[in-house]
Amino acid sequence: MTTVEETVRVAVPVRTAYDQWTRFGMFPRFMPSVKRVEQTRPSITRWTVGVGPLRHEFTTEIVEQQPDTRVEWRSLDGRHRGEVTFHEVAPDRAAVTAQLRVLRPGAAFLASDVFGLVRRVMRVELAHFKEFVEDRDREVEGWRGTIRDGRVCPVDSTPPWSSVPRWPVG
Amino acid sequence: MGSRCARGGARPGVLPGGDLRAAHRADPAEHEPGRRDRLSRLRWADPSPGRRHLNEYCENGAKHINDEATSRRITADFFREHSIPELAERSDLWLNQQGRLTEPMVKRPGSQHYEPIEWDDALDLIADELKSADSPDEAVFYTSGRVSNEAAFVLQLLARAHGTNNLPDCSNMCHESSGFALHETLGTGKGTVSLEDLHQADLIFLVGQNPGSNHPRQLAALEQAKRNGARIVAVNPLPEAGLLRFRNPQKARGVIGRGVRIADRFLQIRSGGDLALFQGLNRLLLEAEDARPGGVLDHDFIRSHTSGFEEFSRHARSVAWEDVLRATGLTRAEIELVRNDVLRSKRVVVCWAMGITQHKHGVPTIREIVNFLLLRGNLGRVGTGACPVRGHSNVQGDRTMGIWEQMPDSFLDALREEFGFEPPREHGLDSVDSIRAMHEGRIRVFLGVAGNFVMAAPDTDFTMAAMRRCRLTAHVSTKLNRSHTVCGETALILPTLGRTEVDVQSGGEQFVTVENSMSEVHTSRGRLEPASRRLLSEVAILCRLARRTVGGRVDVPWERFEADYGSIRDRIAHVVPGFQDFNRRVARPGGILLPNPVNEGVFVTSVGRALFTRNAWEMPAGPGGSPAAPDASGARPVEHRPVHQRRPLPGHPREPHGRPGQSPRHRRTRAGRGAAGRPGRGVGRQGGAPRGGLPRRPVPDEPRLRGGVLPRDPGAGAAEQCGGHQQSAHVEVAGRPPGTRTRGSGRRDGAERGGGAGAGLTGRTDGPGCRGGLSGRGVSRSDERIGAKAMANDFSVGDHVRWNSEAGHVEGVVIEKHTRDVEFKGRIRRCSEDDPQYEIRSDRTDHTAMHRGGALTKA
Repeated sequence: MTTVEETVRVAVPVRTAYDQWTRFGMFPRFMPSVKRVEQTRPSITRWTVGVGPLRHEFTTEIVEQQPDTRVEWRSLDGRHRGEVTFHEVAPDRAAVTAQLRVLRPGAAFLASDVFGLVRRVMRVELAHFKEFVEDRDREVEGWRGTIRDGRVCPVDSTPPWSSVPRWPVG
Repeated sequence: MGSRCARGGARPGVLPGGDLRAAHRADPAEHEPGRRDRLSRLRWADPSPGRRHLNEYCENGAKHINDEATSRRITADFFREHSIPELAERSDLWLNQQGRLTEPMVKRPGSQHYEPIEWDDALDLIADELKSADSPDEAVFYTSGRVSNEAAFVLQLLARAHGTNNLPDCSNMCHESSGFALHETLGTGKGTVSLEDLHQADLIFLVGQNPGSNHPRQLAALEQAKRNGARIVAVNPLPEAGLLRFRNPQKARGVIGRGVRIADRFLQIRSGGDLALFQGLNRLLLEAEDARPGGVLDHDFIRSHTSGFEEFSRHARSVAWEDVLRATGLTRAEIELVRNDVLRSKRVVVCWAMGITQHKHGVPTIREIVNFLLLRGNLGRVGTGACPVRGHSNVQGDRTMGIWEQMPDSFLDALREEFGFEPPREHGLDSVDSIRAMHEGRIRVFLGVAGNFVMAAPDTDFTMAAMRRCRLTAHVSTKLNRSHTVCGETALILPTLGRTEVDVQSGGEQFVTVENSMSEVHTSRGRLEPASRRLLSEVAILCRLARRTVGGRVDVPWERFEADYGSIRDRIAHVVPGFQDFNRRVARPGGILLPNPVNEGVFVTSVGRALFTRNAWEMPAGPGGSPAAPDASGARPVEHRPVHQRRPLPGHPREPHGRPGQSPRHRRTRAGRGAAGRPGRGVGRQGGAPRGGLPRRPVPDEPRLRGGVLPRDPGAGAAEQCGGHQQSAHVEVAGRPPGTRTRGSGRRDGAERGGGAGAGLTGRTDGPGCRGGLSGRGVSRSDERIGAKAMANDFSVGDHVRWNSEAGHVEGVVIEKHTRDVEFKGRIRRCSEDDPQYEIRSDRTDHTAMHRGGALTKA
């Protein structure tokens, strides 16, 4: 198991940083290595990432999520786990730390200098995040619910997503 | 299941809107590959983000491709040549083999022949009949689960604009109990599981289900789950070949290897014993918690997300082991082993199909499954959940679109807002009530869109008689089936495009949408040339009929709907919650995933939490009230005695979903068949098909629900208990007097679900798909003339007989006739004087086996 960890300081309140981060669908807008993110449940996201011609798809489950504090996930293929933590440094400054633990690297992974690459990509992408979140003049609204041990606890008792046909289906 | 499943289960371009059992359709024409020379042009209809394998479909679908690769066409000459009484004499197989219907036909009053009719005249006939009725409620509009969202929406709009909620559908006969039980306890009418959940589960229960034949896409998911380390517990009266070992033909290792053993544990349960099994398991879990406080149950979840645990817990502890063992036919040790599996598993999924839903006590059984899941927090997390496995391509979507005789006011209000008319509020007739009303002469017009109603319905003879009492019967169909030979005074056949055929309207080429078991809504587009130029699409037929029937009365742009299905989807977006921006979103690869509130951490029940329920049950009682011995013969007439103990708990007011004043009804009519007193062993009961076998007749003696599974039974039951936790089970305690004509309800499953393929094979919709789990071992018994049949199935020692084994037909000799319970190959075989079993030795291998007489033929 190898762990890669990077931290970036951003000049926004911790809540802004958290809210922006948890809008996973927006990642492709500022992180070139993230091609597509699709959130199918509050706890499940499907990612397509890639560098150059390489593409990698995986699905993650968010196992822990605390607003303004942290997001912890595991990939459902069991290859990695990750965690992003948010700390308030000052009222309008926050530190964002991303940590990636590769549990079962694939062959291609080992053949290349992957950890070096991952570290580089992470550093660059965190810088992109910093640029994006600091430049945005509009506040984003994040999902403020929590996830504990994979179980979703919404803030709102009737979140918009629950507005679907609920009558019995035969 | 899942978009991949949907397409995975489908043939290329042929069964675009698949479900787990995409290739099973009630309507044989659904499988419409067209001619062989077209097969090369087939494409997967729907691009999906997931991987799927070429040719991943079920065996019935495969047979059906073969069957359907025909260029035969039915023209007016055919009907001139064959009178209706003659057609009625023909087998279902023969009817199905005559090819595609090509032009509208009418049977006039007094005539014995169908004759050609112009589309306009045919539709005028129906419209005039509808308009001349004293009340709009004199019409019923039946839907089969293959109808697309667009056609379904138009049909319900037509019915409601006409002024009735008489919208019986095939759902009334299959997963109705799932819908009600889940809606009541979890606040969702649908399953909570996606393919990813199956992949991630540690433990999967397959209860009353035969995925090998009926849900092949699920087998691939189960194989994946197994590779991820899951254990699988199969609960079924019969060991199904596909459950025990799956050789995935898509993979090299599947072809050359021994295959993957799917079920790690097989519980050969007595038919109908599932409720008792889950109660036994729940009791064991509670006791395990006592022994290891805090280590077994998910107290956080129970505290914060559920209601009624204390009452449930008290009740569950009072369940007597003796009763559980008697009802399940299992040993306590077997159930304890399953408990151990559960205790080792962090993520549990329970899947079920018709083997659960069609029992009289289907609703309580599913509620008990929900209890089981709630205890350890196995809901709302990845790798957990409740998974009712459906069959028809769009059986879930049709309900979503409002095909239901008791739609909630919220939907009807939205309909009023959108279209400016007041839809009727009075609940309509479900399938059984429709048949009853037809039989009583209260229905003038029957319009069936897809399906084979008389064969799908619970009691064929009764349904046929009912159909004949209508003034007008009309079927929108692609191929000839039994229902066309059962005519009202006037009868119409309205031939329609198959889903595989190109659908061009004045607004251009159209596609339709469907929803699968995993709540994914996606497109379905035909590729083949239509079988005839005179075919109209279902949407076109319904729009034209609507224009004629309610044209001046409501402001609905029927012409525009017909020209451009996108305009229907725009309206759906306004009426059905969760479908906003429908047209744009559904066109994306993968379509729309309708979220399930449970996975959002939301339980929209009467109390805003998931409900624990108390499901009382009573052992099947024999005449005089004494408990029937578990090995009692199926022929023993047993009293049908529903149990009501409904008493809402303080603070949980009743919230009837049903009609005001409606009381739970127990449909004795045609329902009280099957013998709860009969051993379940050897009795197939799920919507499974024999693997590779010919269609088999249903085993008559199943304590399954017949009429009783229909909507308002569970509905009313559910309604009564909604908000309260006091439960009662409708224990079907019924026997079938010897010689009674009986049809297992499993046939309806097949008729509606698997029957498409079944019909393809046999022409009858009671094809293999519906043969509730009568495995390839051939436990087949005629459902008719049981007495006579039993005589014919009587053999003596020394008789030379033939039977069907997994390896094919085997011949051998009867070496012993068992009339008392006997242990054979490690398990108890239930035998009696009335229901003996024969020990037989193969001529070729000296291998011995034991079968009932029905499985044997004289060689």
